[in-house]
Amino acid sequence: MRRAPDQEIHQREYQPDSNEAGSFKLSGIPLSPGVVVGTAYQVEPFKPAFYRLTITADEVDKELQRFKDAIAQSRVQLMNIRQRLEELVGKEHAYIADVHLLILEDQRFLAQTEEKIVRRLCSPERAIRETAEEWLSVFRSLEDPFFQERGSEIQDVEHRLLANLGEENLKNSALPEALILVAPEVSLSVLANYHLDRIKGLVVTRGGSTSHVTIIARSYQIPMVSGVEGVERIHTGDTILVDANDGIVYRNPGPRVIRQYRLGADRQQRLLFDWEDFDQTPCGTADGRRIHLYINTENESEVAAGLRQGAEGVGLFRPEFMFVKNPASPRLPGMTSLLSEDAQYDTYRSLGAAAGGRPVLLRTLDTGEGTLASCQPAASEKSSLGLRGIRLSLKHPEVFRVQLRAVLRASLSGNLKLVFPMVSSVDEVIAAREILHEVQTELECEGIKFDHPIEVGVMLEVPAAIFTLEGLMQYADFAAVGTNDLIQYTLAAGRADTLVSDLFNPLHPAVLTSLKKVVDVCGGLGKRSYICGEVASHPLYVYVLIGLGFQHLSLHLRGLAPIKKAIARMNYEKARNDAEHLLTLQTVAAVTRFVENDLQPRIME
Amino acid sequence: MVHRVIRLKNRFSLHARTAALLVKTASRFKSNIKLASLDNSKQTDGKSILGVMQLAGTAPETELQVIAEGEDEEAAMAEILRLVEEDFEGGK
Repeated sequence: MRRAPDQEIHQREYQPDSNEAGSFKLSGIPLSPGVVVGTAYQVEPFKPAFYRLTITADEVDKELQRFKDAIAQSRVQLMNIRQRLEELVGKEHAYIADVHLLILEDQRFLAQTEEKIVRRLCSPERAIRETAEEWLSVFRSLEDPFFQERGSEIQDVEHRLLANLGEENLKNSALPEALILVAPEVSLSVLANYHLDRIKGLVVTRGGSTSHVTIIARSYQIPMVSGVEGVERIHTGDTILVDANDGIVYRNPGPRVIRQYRLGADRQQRLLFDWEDFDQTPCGTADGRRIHLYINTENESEVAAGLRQGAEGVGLFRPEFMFVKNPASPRLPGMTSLLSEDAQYDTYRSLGAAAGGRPVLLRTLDTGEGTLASCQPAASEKSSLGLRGIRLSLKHPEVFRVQLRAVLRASLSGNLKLVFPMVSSVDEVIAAREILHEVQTELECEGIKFDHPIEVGVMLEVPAAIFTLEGLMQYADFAAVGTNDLIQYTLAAGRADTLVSDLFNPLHPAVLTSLKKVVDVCGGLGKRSYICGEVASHPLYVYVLIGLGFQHLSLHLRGLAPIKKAIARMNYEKARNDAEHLLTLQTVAAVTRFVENDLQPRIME
Repeated sequence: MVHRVIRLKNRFSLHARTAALLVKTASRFKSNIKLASLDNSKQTDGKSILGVMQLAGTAPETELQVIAEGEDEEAAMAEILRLVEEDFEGGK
C-alpha cells in the first residue's frame, strides 16, 4: 500500500516560503493515515471547572439526580463510541468502551459515590473524585505492571463524568470549527469532549500504536502522528499541515508545500479531508435528474459534516443510544430504560438545530425487549420477528409517550419528522397517531408550543406494509424504505446467516417489484419516499433505485461524497430503461447476467 | 452453590479485555458470583469490573475460584467455564 511517488515530495529539501515566518517541520510516527491542512488547537490538560465541595441536606435528591444524569450521558457517549468501533475496526476493539461502560455500571463504584453524596453531603464532583482516588490507590498498592492501564481506565471515566456534570461548560467549549488537536498526550475522555467530526487531525508526543486514542483515530479516519517532539512550539491558531502517511507536521506550510500535496493528491487520489469537504453543488445525474441525499446517523455531531458534504438533511436518526440504565427513567419490563424526556429533548433539539431547517427523520424506538439490557446486543437482534419497533411502542405507550413529548417539544428547533418502524398494518399507524394526538393535546394543555402538524412517516420494512401500502399512505405523510429489513423479510434470508446470506439479494425480482410499488403509490399521492439502508451506499443499487424513480436517498456519512460523484456520472434516462428491463426479468440468474454484462460496465463508464 | 477453580492462561493475566468479558458474562445471570484469587486470597464480586481488575496478580497465570450461588448458578458456571475454555476469544 505504500505509494512510492509520495516519497519524492518529502525527499525534496523542505524550503519554507520566504514570506512565511516561523515555518518549521516536525517529524513523528504516522499512526492513522491521511493528510490534512488546518488550524492547530493546543489541548489543555484536563482541569475540571471549579465546583462546590459540599451540598445541603435538601439538595441531596437534586444532586443525586445530577450524578445519575451524568452517568446516563456518559453511557450514551460510550455506547456511541462502542458502536462506531464495532462498525469500523471490529468487535475485538469494542472492549475499550466496554471497560468504561462496566465501570459506570459497577455497583461498588456507584454505591461508594452515592454514599458520599447522601451521607456525607459531598457534591457529586467531589464524591466521584474521591471514589476514583480510592480505587486508584487500591491499584497502586498492587504494584502490578498493568496498573498503568487500569489506573487510566478509572481516570478516564472520572474525567468523563466530571465533564458531563459541567454540561453547560462542555457544550459551549465544543470545538467551534474543524481543528487539528495538538498535545503532549490525549486521553480518550478528552477526545470525547470534542465532537469527533470536528477533529481533523491529531499531533501528539505520547501514544502508541495500540493506544485507545489511536484506535479511535483510525476508526474515525482522523490522520494522527505520534512521537512528535516539540509540539509546544505549535500554538493554537497556527496553520499546520499533517502528513500522517509519512509522519511529518509542517507549521505554516506555505503555498508551495500545499501545492505539492495537492498534486500528490490528484495523482494518488488519496483521501484529503480538507479538499473533499465543502461540496455544496446540488446532487443530480448527468442528464439533470435531481437526487436528494441525506445521512443516516445516530450521532447529532455528524450532521454538520454531512451538510458540508452536500447532505440535505438527516434521512434516518437512530435513537437506540438513548437507552440507558437509569433508574429514574421510564423502563420497559426486562429492559433497560430510556433516557429521560429532558435528555431526549436535548438530543432532538440539537439535532434539529444542527440540520438548520432541513428535514430530520426521527425513527421512534426500534428495538426488541431485552436487546439492550446489557451493553451486549442479543445475537438475533436484527432477525427478530418479535416485539420490536412500533409494536413495542404500542405495547408500552408510557415509554412511547415520553419519546413523542420530547420530539414534539424539540420540533420548533428544526424540521423534525417522525417515522414509525416495523409497521405491519394500517391499524398500528392509526393507533400510534392516536397516541400522538393525545400527547399533542396534553402539551397544548400545558401551554407548551410545538410544531403542528408534525409530519409522520412509516418505515417500510415488512412485506405486509408493501401489500397494504395504499391504506398505509392514507395515514402517513411519507414513506421510508428500510431496505435491509425489507430484503431480509421479503426473502426470508438474513445477511448474518452465512448459510443463506447469498440469497440476500437487493435485486431479487420480489424486492424490485416491492420498490417499484413504493415509488408508484407514493408518487401517485404526491408523497415522498426515502430509501434508508445500506443499498444507498452502493453505486450499482443507487443506479437501479434512481432508475426506479427514487429521488431521496439516505446513507452513512462516509458514503456521501463517493455516491454523489457516482450519481453525477449516471444517466437517468438510461437508468430508467434499465430498471424497466430489470422488472421484466423473472429469475435471479437473469438479473445477475444483466447486471454483470450491462449494468456494471455502464456504471463504471 | 457451585464452585470451580479456573486458570487464566491469558498472557496479560487479568487484562482489561478479559476482565470485561468475565464481568459481562457474570452480569447476565441472577446468581451471586464471587471470584477468589488463590494466589493472594483476595475475594471480589464477579459483577464488579473494578473488583475483578483488582484481583490480577503479576504471575503469567492467575488461578481463581469461581463461586456461583442462586437460581441459575449451574448455567452461570457453565458459561464462565466456556469463556475460559475458549480462552476469552468468544467475545471477538
